[in-house]
Amino acid sequence: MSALENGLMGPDEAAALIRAGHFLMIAGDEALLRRLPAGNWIGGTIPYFMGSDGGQLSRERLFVTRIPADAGAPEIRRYDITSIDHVCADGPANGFSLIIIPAFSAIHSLYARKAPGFEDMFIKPVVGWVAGCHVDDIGRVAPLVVSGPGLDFDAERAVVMHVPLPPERYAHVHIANAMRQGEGEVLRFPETGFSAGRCTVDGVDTTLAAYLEARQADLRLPLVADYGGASVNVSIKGVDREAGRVDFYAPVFDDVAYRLAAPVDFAADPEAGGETALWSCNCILNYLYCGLEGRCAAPPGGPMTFGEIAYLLLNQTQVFLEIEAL
Amino acid sequence: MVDGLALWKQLLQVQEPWVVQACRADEFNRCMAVWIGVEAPRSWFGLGRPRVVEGGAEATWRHIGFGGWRVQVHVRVPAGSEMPRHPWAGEAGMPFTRALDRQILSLLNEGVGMNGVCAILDLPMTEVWRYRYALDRGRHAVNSADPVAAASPDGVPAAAASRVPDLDDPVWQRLMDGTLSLDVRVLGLQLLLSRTRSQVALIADEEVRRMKLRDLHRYFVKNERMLVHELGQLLPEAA
Repeated sequence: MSALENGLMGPDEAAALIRAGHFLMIAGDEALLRRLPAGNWIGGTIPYFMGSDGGQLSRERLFVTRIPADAGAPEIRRYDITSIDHVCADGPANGFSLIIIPAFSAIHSLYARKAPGFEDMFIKPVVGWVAGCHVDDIGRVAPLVVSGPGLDFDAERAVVMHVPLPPERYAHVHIANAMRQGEGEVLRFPETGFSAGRCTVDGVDTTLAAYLEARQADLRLPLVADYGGASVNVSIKGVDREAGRVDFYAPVFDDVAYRLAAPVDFAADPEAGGETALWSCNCILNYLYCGLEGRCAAPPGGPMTFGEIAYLLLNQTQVFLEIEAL
Repeated sequence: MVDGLALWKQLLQVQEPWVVQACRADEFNRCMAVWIGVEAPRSWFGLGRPRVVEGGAEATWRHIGFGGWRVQVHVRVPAGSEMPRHPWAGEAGMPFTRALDRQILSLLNEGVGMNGVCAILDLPMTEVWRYRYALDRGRHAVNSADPVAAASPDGVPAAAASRVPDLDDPVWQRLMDGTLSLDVRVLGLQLLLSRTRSQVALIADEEVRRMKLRDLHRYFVKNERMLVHELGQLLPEAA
């Protein structure tokens, strides 16, 4: 995959690709995205990237991925909270759907909590990321997504590109996650949500805050669920000891068992796994906790995001989209 | 009336972000009117911006009756949003919700005449004629009520070439309830299988379990090409 098809570039290069009629997914700083012309692209705000020369914060470059359009033109649509539950069902019979969701919005919250129950979820591939902002701007600057055909910037709706593939090819979504369930107790929660007070620890009622304090847990380590061999993280945002509440970057579900992640070496090199991927994204928490600025992670690179989507909303995970041939 | 709202939410299976905002009973005409709209979304880490869910046009459809009562559903669609595609809503310009739509079509397909449809479902002839007219003119299509229909080829190789065991093969039940364990390498199947197993452990209703089984089978049919490793384990277990 060449840098022209999947890599960091300046806005003039990106604009040239748009004007050439290519279908593109673009990540970058809002000011740069606003300089791009209308065309067949979707985008989202984020200034953190993993490029071929390592992790970087950049307000001068965009991460551009060229999307195949040889089985018919991809369809670009926007979804709000009333229609997002159809995002998979609307996907092509053979192909995939790329989604970008603005962080901190109601649709971010709704997708995170309700996606497992969406019609055709898991049946059709949906992959994407959560748009964000510079971490110093959290709470002050609204993350945005962009629908390129109309240059519509939106802080409340998701933008989706439904991409059909020819019959001899198919989309394969996979993840790289350095986290595994530790050997500790099983945690269960009475309700689905982004914060937790009460929980059970090996069946005994307590609070998660008390449990984490008693364990002197490293809060960089997420809670990990085992979905039939796939480790799915729920990252811890913080602990409010007075309120006895723990906040998360993704929801815990009331029907899933969790364990604290086993300790990891945050300074270790990230595992490889996506050399032939069309597209990838990674988590801003990996960027921060693993000190990825200036260090290389697994190719092909991509935006470092406020949430990764491989069917479900994930945390501290690298997501890959591969196009496989029969 | 709060209990009434919760009851109608449950009866109509209204889910977030939609909520039942009001209901009113007309006892004289034995008609219940239910209003559905979008609830202001909750915030995210306290960072969520307040969002006014501006009311757009209100659409009204006749729904399936309950307990001898007629039900009229009024939906307030936020400005800029699509019409909801749920069974409790209908298409713009049509008189019936999708759920009632399916019942009418089923009766018509069974050869029941228009008068019979009106009598059985307590519907006014004028509205059934309007519905029939739209059908005959190709202005209205009814989504299949049968999830099995949605499981048809979907752009995947023809069934004749498929190695996936038939839906009736007992291997699916074993896979679903976990008595058959596979080494699964495909993320989508790991997530689907894990979710399905946790759900069926709580589901007693045979029809619902059957629906989950169809979903699992459909996943294999649709994604057969990437399931070489998994099918290699499944096929020797099949009947």
